[in-house]
Amino acid sequence: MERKRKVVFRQIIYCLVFIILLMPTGYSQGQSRYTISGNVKDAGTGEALIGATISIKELSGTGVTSNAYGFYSITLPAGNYSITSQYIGYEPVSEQINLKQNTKLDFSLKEKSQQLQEVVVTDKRKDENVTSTQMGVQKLDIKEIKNIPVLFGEKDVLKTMQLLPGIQPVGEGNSGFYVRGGAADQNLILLDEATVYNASHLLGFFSVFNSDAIKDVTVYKGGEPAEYGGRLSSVVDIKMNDGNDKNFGVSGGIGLIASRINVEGPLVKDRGSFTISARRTYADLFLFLSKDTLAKKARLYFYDINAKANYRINDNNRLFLSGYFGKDVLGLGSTYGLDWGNGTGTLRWNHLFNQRLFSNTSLIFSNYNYNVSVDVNNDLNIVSKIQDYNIKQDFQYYLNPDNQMKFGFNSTYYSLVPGAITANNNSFNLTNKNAWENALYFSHEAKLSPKIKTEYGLRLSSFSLLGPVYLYQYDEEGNTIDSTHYAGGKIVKTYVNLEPRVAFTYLLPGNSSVKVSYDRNIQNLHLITNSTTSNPTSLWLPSSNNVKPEIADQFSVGYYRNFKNNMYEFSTEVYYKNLQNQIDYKDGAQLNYNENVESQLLYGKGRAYGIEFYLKKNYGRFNGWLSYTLSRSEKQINGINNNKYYPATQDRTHDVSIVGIYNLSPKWTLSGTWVYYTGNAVTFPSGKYMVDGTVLEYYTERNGYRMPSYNRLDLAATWIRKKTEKTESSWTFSIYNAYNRSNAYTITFRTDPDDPTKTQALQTTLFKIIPSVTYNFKF
Amino acid sequence: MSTQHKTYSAVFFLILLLLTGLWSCQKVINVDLNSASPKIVIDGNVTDQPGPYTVTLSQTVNFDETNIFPPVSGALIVINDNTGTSDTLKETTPGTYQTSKLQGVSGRTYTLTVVTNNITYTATSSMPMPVEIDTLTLKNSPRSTKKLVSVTFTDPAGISNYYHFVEQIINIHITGKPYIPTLGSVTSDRLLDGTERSFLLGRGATDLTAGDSVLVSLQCVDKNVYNYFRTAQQQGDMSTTLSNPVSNISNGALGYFSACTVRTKMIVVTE
Repeated sequence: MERKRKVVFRQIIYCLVFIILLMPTGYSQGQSRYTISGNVKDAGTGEALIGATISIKELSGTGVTSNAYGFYSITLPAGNYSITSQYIGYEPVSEQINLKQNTKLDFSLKEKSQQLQEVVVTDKRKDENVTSTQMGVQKLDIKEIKNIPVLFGEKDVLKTMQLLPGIQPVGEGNSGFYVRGGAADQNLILLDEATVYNASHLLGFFSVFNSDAIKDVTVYKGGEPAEYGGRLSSVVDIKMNDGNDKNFGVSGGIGLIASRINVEGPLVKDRGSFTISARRTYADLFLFLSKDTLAKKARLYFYDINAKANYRINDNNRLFLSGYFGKDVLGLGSTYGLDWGNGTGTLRWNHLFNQRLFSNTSLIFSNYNYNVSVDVNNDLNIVSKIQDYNIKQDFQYYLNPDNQMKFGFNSTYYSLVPGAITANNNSFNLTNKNAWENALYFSHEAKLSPKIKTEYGLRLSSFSLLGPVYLYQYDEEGNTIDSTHYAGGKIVKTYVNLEPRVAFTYLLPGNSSVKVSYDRNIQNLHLITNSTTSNPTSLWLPSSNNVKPEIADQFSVGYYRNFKNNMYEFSTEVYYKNLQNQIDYKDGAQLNYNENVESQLLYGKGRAYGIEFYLKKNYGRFNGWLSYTLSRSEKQINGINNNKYYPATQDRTHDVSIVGIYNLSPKWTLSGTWVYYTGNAVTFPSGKYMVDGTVLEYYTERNGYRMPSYNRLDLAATWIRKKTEKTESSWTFSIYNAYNRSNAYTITFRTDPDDPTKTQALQTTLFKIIPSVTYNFKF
Repeated sequence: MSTQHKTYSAVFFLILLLLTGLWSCQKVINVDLNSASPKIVIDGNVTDQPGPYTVTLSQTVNFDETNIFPPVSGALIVINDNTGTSDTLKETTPGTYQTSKLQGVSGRTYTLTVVTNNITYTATSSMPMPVEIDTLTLKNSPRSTKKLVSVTFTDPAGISNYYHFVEQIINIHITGKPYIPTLGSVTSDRLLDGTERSFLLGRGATDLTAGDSVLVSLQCVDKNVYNYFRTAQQQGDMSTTLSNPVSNISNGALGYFSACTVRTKMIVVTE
């Protein structure tokens, strides 16, 4: 082990030496080369534009895209160039430049008006899906999200994301999701780089992300860039708006069960800005209207606040401070209470060492906690939380248009409080856990020839469980056979892993390409949950002597093709994932507030594979997409179903989404979505028997049955009542489940209440047809 | 802005009212369930109360069949304790077997042996020390307008205790709906060691009405029996661990064998 670790470290050192040697020397031969760099911004608001293209007319096929902070850098031989910056929905801007020294060049792009957006434009950026090396990536356009209302007429990034191939909802109206056969806890959800541990409000019916506060959403279903790590299945990178640095503005919406408001404006004009968004639901109003006296005692609401400020100190230094705080409150009089919430904070410093070396340093804090209080007869109160403190350093080095490197490190300290319990004035704690995770990464994107591009990278991660902690050893029955106590500050157990990734893109004639990729991901925090739906009291468990890091190796091949001047884009990807150290539960596992929860777990392997199809129409009065996924996800765990492969809960054979948006007139936009998916794998009884005069269900296998298939149509219409340069007011009318289908949320079995000699199956439907209306304003 | 909001807010409330009735509904459906070959079910108790004690043997049936569970006759059933007492049970009615001389005592460990169809099933259970019921009171349910029975007892400190509550409703009133028995509830002192405890019964589907008498048994059971009932209650939830209750009987038999203490009290439901 020790030797292996040394070898690993030596490899890393070699890599770093290689980078350092490469940096100053690369492409220094021949004529002198200079760097053009700068930022791409929205001319109206000053918001940085992420992923805008900067292309050189004279050197066809040469270009770069702006990074997460709107920064770009491109190094070219001296000469005269016409440089164009473009971004979806914005007018392109071109500049003539006589390059004879390093040059600073910022672009301010104007948003196209609604009418102009319908005009087809040749837009280089549109074929990025074909030309980039990144596979399994989906970007959500925030404007698209705004036209696709989901449950209760609310816009929701996580729910709209579920309409993309390979991403599937956990259940009806739920913001939880499965990516390519992975479990819901295998998604890394980042809000301005901070991990969000529970992305659900109101048991999943809303996500914690207020779409008013969001600028950019990128989902990686595979081949995640090396700077990300920690989860097996996906990364959802959500970036908050920076705020308008030119003018003050207020916008908001009043919806059926939630309202929201956003205030933004300059701190110092053109140098700094702030934005604050807040939401609150009033679902409890429904309960007040109820005749039921008990319902009147209920509490049921959430609120959340997003805030961000940024300040440009000078051309080379910029600071960002952003935060999120949200809270859910559920309760019934003084007898029962459950509240939970996330809080995150990110302080970032962008620094340019030189025009080619961009650096970002982030200090990140994230907290998730919940509090249960039950006072039926005994006074019971439980507090549980997970916190992390993270320092992250990222460098981007723009060697030349054909070579870009990223490297950096991050170090995270985790503090987990699984349960601090107070019962009838006695208190005791389940053992708190502390862990330290470190990672070092490097990646290189290179154009090998005009037709072939590659991106490869390596992430070295280590995860250490720290004392003070008790380590338990269990026998097969789950009895404790040994326990060892480790003092505070001691490293108890360390796992070191190498996570390589590599991707190739081969450009084919006719605006199409073929890509292949391989990547490995490691997960050291595991969510233990006894519910098949989103549950705020689920437990995050770090890797330990019993729980090994989960490992996923993914191979994928894809074909990409754009038609008609990028008006249509088509892609298909095939993937195969091999999963190690997967976790499932013993029959009848006791997962709640159990010091020995690790004794309730079983470990094994998994495999997930599938094919995804995606056809999108990008422009025109009518646009939208069609997505289809055929997939399988299975586990093999000794102790379950005679040690044979069995379907994972999230195994869905078919998954179809159709999204259509139609711009009827400048005032009216219509949209519709239709989804169909195979039901989850579930456990149903295959017989029954009697014990103590009671009829019980007899189960023969886990996940041996299927829920009925799900399908639903949603419709929406947005009416822009008034729109001027600065102000806007609009109405959104929507219908969830338009053909009023009774989709099964749960199926349970019981004795027939009218005939105790019979048993019956009972289907619960959560949401039938729900019309809603939302009023949005901006002034 | 604000006047606009006022006009529109009236519309919201109208729509809100229309909506409330439309959410969440339940219906009985047909589910095509597999059939399973019959499996043996063993259900037996030894208590600290005078015998005889009963062990019943039956079989599973397919889910769509009527609730008639075939008894298993002609089995050899023996209960031993750790002091050398052995009692061979007699089959009194098909599938029902009773002891003739055994007396349950706290602190002793009992072993059940069942031989049928050339397969031997065994189970052991230790009888804990008894805990008395202090009082029974009627309480309003925190979740509905139902009345429920609350059991108060004092948990002995320093040792692990596992409780099983059995509620028998002796219904004087005819409610028109048949009575559907449910398994008893269990609790442990895992989170509440050594305190005076109240425990609210009422997993049963039947409402209590004035004049009903409720007979409550407080059983002290061992950890395995507690686990049996705890896992049996997970059935029907949206559980990731849906399975047969974890039985303390060997060789894959369903059911349980419990050596337990029993204390009972009766309460009459008033208005």
